[in-house]
Amino acid sequence: MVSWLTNTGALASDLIAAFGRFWAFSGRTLGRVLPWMTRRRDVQRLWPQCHAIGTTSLPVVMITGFFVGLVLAIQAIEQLMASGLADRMGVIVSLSVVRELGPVLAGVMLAGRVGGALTAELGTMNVTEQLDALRSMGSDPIRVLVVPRFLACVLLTPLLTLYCDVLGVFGGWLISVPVFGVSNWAYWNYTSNALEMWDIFCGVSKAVFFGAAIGLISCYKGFNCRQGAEGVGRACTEGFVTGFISILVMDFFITMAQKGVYVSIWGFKTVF
Amino acid sequence: MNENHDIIVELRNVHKRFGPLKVLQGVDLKLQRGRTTVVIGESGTGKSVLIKHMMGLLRPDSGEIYVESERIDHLREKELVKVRQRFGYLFQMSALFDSMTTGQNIAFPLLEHTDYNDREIERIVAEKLELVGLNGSQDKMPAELSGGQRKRVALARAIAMNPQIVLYDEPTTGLDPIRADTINDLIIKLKHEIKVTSVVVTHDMASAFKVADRILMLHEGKFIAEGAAEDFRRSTEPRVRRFVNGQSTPDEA
Repeated sequence: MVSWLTNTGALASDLIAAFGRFWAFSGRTLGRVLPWMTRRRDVQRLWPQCHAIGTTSLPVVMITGFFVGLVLAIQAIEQLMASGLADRMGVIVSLSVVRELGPVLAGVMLAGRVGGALTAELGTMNVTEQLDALRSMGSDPIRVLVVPRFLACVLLTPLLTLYCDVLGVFGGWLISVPVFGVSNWAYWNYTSNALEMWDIFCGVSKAVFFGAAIGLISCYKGFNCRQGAEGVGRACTEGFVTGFISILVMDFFITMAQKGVYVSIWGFKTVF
Repeated sequence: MNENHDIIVELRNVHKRFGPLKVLQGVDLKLQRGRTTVVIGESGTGKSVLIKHMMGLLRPDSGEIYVESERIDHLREKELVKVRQRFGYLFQMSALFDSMTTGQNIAFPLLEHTDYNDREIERIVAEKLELVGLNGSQDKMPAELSGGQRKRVALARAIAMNPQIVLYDEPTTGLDPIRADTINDLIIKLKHEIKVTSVVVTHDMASAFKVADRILMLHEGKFIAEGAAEDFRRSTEPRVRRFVNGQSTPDEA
């Protein structure tokens, strides 16, 4: 009993300490963003990261969005046809994808693809003393390595989410209109009526937070991984799991906040 | 000239522990300007930890560290930038940036800390590569280089900013005897050509005897012997003799 309590206490203490270290790391990163922007040579480091994080992730995010749209339409179409609401298919698909599934699934895909790569890259740099080499040359590894990766994640996750959204709505159209014979005009007309700028803003703003979480968590895990290949591998796994859970938890709280803001300004509206 | 004017780095009663492991237990050390000091000792005795303290990569638990009479052990990272520019550090595994070419690796500190234009930086990179005997390899990636070439590129990067002090962490480890000797010759060449103060951490006695003006032996967190190469060759101190001759004790077998 005593040893169980001791172990649990030690685990809790380690978790709290790690949480504190993560926030200190995040604070240092955020604190360096503005000074970073004033140096041309620093800003030039952003473009390769945008390519690595954004351009190369585009196909996988678009495929994700497309198949989510297809599956959503297949799940809903027969029920809506039976209720005589098949014309409203675009409403179901577009609101689901733009508000929720687009940002969350794009975020999860990026947590796996980009987060894993960032943790592995920085973790390898850590265990091969490249981070110490940077410090030994009087350079700040957070400014040189973390800030451009963090900013690329923050800037490009929303953009990738928009691509995911567009392909999702198109996937829904492909099942509804050519396959199940829903009217093309109805699909787009009801979609444009139901989908508000607010919905797009909600999805994109979630993606900003998801991108920030992916960038900070994966860089933190890379900077703090243990020695050896096993240490880097474990850091990648922990980075992905933490990023994935953070996205789901953040999604819940951001959605609650956005709902509250919407209802307090515009009141409750039905979509059908 | 007062002897203290020749002291470029000084450690006073430095202690460092990692968890329960006491690594440095009251180390005192004075480095003389322009001379090569070699620190020998078994693996895991804290040699690398010792030199990382000299440029603030690690902070002591207690004790004081001075560089050019300025105390540095309590400085913040930002304040250490100027101090670190006086140093070059050759890492044990070279620590070249994998994603950059050889030329970009050497140019990195120049881009970070100077306003040189591209042409000037290219000239300095070519000059440093020539100094380490790797002319024209600016565009090679670190993965294309052999272990010895990587060490030489890392050395070119370490001296890119013309540091006053170069710290060598196991410079010959993992190299064949001929490549190791090339590195030894480079250490001597840099001492004579650019007048650097050097600290070499090694357990390669051939290297230590060749490059050292002064040798210190670190054992269980303290220096147990100090002298010229000849003093170590003739030493009768059992621990020094065993290390120099590479003899294990029955307990270690």
